Amino acid sequence: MVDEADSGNAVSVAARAGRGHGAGAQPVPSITFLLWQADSRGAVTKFDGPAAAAAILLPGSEWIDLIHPEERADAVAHWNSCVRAGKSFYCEARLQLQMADGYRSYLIRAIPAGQTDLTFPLWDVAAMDITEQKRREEKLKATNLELEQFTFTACHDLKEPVRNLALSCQVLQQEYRPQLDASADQFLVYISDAARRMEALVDDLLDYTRSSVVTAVPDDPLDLNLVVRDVLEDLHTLVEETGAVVYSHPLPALCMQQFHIEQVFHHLIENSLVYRSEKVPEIDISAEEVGGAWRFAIKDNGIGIEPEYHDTIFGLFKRLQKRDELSGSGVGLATCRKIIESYGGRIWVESRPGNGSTFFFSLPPD
Amino acid sequence: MSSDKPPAPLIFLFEDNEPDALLVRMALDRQLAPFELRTANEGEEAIRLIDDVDGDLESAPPSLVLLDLNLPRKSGEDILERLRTSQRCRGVPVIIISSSESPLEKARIHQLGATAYFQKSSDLTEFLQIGALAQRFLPPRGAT
Repeated sequence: MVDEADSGNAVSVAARAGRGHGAGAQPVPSITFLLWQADSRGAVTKFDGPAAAAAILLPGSEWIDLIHPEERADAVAHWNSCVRAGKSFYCEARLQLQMADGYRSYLIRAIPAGQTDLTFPLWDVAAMDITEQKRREEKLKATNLELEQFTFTACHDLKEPVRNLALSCQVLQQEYRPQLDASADQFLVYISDAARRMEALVDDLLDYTRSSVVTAVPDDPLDLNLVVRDVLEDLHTLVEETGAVVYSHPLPALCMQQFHIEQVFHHLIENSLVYRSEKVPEIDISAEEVGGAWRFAIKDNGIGIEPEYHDTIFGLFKRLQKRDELSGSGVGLATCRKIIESYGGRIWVESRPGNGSTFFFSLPPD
Repeated sequence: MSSDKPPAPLIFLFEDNEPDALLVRMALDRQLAPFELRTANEGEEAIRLIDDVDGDLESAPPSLVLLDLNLPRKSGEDILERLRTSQRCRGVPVIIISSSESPLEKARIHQLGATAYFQKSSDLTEFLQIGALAQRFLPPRGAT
């Protein structure tokens, strides 16, 4: 029952295998809250709440036996490490409470009850039924996925008519120019500009939807120095046009999808080049380990951003400039945020108008 | 050496997008000496044209096929497979014309026996390069 080799007062996974609980008890309705006390081995010492729980939690029985077999080993390992550290226990797990619909999802929390002088210290445990919440979450996830697939298909199918529009305009402008007067010519400029903007927007939206496509993270670390080199090659026209100087300090190798991290660097470096000031653009790319996570910084000497916009710029279709002033579809930073957050990281900016901007993003260790 | 002029090369163009078909024709007109063009704007019609070549020894096989991947009724891939199993068209160069940028799609198309891949651009000058590409795969002028 007890993992003697370890702390001497924790739960053993092997001891749980095959153990029944409340055999022969009558099915009971859903129980929203369950409160009980258990010792550090997991043996129930007392319980409160609905009387029906008596059928499930009996003094001396081990509550971890109620956890679904697929989740039990992890829960036991977590319980043991909390017991050793004396830290509060927190987990989400399915519990078999002998109800008509079998396992239900519970949020389980446990804190030391304070009697540390016992051989097996006592813990107060609370479990809350979150089955409905989980079902709603799953449904929402499925709906979101469907919506993303719809957006992807819609963007993809929009590409062809937009391309035809742009090409037809160019045919008129190049082949039929002598037959057009100045005002017809001007309208063709409007149409072709609109087609160009629409094309850029559709491309950016496609990247945005692709940024959330859930695929396996590669096992092999990706050298981010090479990623930045490729991104700078992609942006070489803009780098040369602006005469920008880019310093890239050594970057780590991380397990990420190449498309994802390329997108992040591409949008951030491109923004530094586009939103430049009168000065020759200088961009500094670096990474450092802070509290076990990697923190990347892309620092520029561009026009900067007023503090009130430091959050809104990461929203979809958020732009600070009038359309004619500086190009941009308002999707780039939203794409960056979506990607970084999907890896459990965070993205933010520190900036003042006229003093350049530094975009930071953090990525947790693999 | 025969004094007869060699017949104009026959090109099959399978494309359902009318503006694209018109631009391809414009590019070929600019780049090539006289040629004969047969078109289909859906997959079954394209397959019928290939069947006609196989079924009638009098009818000349094409010198080149330009094939859009997204055709109604039969996909570009189906047509490519049909071409590669055709008695008289299996050796004909096939240029895939597509708006897809997917490297996976390009790799798959090459496996199915495509000769070249042309990505449709939204820039007119780039789009019209299809004429020069087509010329590379046609027999030189005067050759029989």
